[in-house]
Amino acid sequence: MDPTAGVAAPGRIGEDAAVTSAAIDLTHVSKTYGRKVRALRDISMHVRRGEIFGLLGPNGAGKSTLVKILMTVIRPTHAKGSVLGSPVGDKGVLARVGYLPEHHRFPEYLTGRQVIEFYGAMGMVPRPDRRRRAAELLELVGMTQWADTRVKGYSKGMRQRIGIAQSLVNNPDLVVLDEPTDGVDPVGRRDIRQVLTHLKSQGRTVFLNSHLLSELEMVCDRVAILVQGVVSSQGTIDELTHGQQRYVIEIDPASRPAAADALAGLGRECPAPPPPGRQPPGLDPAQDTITVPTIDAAEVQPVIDALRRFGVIIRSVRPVRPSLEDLFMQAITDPTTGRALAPGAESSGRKARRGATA
Amino acid sequence: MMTQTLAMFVDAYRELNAKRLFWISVLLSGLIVASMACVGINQKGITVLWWDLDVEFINTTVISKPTFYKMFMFLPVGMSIWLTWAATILALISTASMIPDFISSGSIELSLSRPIGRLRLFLTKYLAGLTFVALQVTVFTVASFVLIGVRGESWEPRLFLAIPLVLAFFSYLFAVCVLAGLVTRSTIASLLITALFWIAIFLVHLGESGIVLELRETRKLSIERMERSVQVDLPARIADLEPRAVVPPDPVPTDDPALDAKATQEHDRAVRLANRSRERLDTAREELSRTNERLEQARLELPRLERIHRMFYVAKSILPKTTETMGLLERQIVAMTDMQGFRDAMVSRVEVGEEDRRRGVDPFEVAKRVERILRERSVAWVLGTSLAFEAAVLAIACWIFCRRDF
Repeated sequence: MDPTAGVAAPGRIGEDAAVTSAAIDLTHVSKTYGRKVRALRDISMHVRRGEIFGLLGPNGAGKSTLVKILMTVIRPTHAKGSVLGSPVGDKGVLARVGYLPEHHRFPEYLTGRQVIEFYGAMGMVPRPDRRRRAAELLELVGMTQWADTRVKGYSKGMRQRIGIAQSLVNNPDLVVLDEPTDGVDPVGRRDIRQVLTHLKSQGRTVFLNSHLLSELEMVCDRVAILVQGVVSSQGTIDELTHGQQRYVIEIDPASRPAAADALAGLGRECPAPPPPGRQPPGLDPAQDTITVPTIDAAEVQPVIDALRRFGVIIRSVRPVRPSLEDLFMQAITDPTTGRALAPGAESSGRKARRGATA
Repeated sequence: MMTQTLAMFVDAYRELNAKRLFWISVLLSGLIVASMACVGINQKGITVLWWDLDVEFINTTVISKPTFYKMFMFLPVGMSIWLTWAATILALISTASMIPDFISSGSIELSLSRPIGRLRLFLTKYLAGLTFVALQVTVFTVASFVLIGVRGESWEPRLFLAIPLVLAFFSYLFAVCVLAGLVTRSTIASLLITALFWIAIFLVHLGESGIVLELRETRKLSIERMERSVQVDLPARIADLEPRAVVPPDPVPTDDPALDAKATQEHDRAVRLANRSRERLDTAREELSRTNERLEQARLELPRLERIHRMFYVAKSILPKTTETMGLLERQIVAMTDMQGFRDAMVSRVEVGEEDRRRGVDPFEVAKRVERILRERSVAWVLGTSLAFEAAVLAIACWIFCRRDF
């Protein structure tokens, strides 16, 4: 897959002003199925133009529902907001949006090329452009060799590649991809990541819905975590991990008593309590590590000095930032029980049961 | 807008093209036209390939060549059996999966996420679904047009009415199939529901036109016959018999024994004749009385039949009229007079049954009346109410499609 192959050069959305404005701006989006199941509750989300935005959450959190609302597949119970400047639910704006649904099913009687051209026609792409774009995109996703083979003969990964190609046929400003790497081998995933970063480099916005946290972490500028129909957090990974970043000093096991003395001495030397929300440096005897809850390297130096004074052998000093997986697990963990929240949307029945067990 | 519509029609064609049933149907259409071409008619009867079969009531002295091909080949074999039964079943099997596949998870998202309104998307898909029948019936009609032109020596452009009429006929069923597919999301369920619906409308048609209407017309004809009998025939016979039934007075004796004997003999003969006339008169009076009773009974029964017929008629008015829709084609391409020679030949060969004779009813006369009534039903009633039903079914389907979360 060659990310630079055949994709039209940026220009129309590359301007600075466009980059700063919102591709998706949602406020108070709710969806209730029937009268009981509240799939989305008052969602607010802001996706900037030109960024790769990741949406994550456990099964049944409402991710696909939210994506389907954006793509007018599902009608929201309540929604305020815009997609590329048009109100949510506006059909016209979809001509500028590309979409790859999860578990997509293309007509098996069509060839890969026909799939791209058909959905191009449905996206109002003129016939000569469709033909040209289909050839370019087949090259982009590495499917030129299989372009005239029927979809029913494709593997899962090949279907996914064709799916990505059809989502780009209308040269979209916004690309919404629901589990794009599902069923794709590691090489294919890397290729898809390259395509995504290339799209970003062209100034296009990519809205990514995926379970693969490591994939998201590699490409996303900003993420939102959805739990039981509510956005529990959103922002850049740095913003979300702010306050949780730390330095970890690994010591030799034989230096454990000396390290404890050093930390005690450090406490005596600095009798003032640490800032609110900040823990003092602590020793984890099980792992022979000392955690210094700061992102500032200067704040680590006195600790190292103290350890050295007490003859502690230091093996390594490294800054540690929580991974996306850590953030995700935090988000889906019930702080009162320490257990992962039950999957699925919130329903009045579940609410009642939870109330009864509380 | 046209780009999307055209793309959907091309896609529908590709889908059909990929299905074997489509090509099997085309092949069968060709075989049927070829087999119709093998049959001919001459002055003696029917010809099949190089064999001649002498048939008294089907030959060119009774019906014309074009009428033979239209009435005995194109309409009963091509239309009634092939296009409106076999090909329709094949078409339903081929297209029943269209909506369930279209709305299945992973597929519908791809269509709904395009800049096309749901209503237009659904209606275009529906129309594209009719492509199967449109192509089939066009191929078959063109082939039949050539066949009747070449073999029947009559180039009949009205034959092409078969295309819109068969399409209308199929669309009544397809609308139900689409709604069922949309609601159940299952191909099998939608096929079963459509089959049941088809059977239901066939039964309503059979009840209305085949049974109740025929019974009503039989009864009406019977009443007309009885009324004529009661008002004209029997009174005339009674009036004729009454003077003859009067017993002549005894002869006046004379002095001549020979003359008296002759007079007595003549008197006895006159008495015998009068008695015989009286018996016939009594029989005629009895028949008059019985006929009056039967007439009264028939007159009482007629409103009940009318009521039952009206119920069927109302039901039929609401439902699509598949048989009548196809009947419109017969009306257009064959006049009743075209078949008169054939009917006369049939009437002369077929004996009236005992029951019909007792009731004084000619079944051919009843059949003719029923046919006339059916032919007199307006095109607006046949097509208008059927298309209104289809529109109502489609409106429900559109409403569901436009409001559903997929």
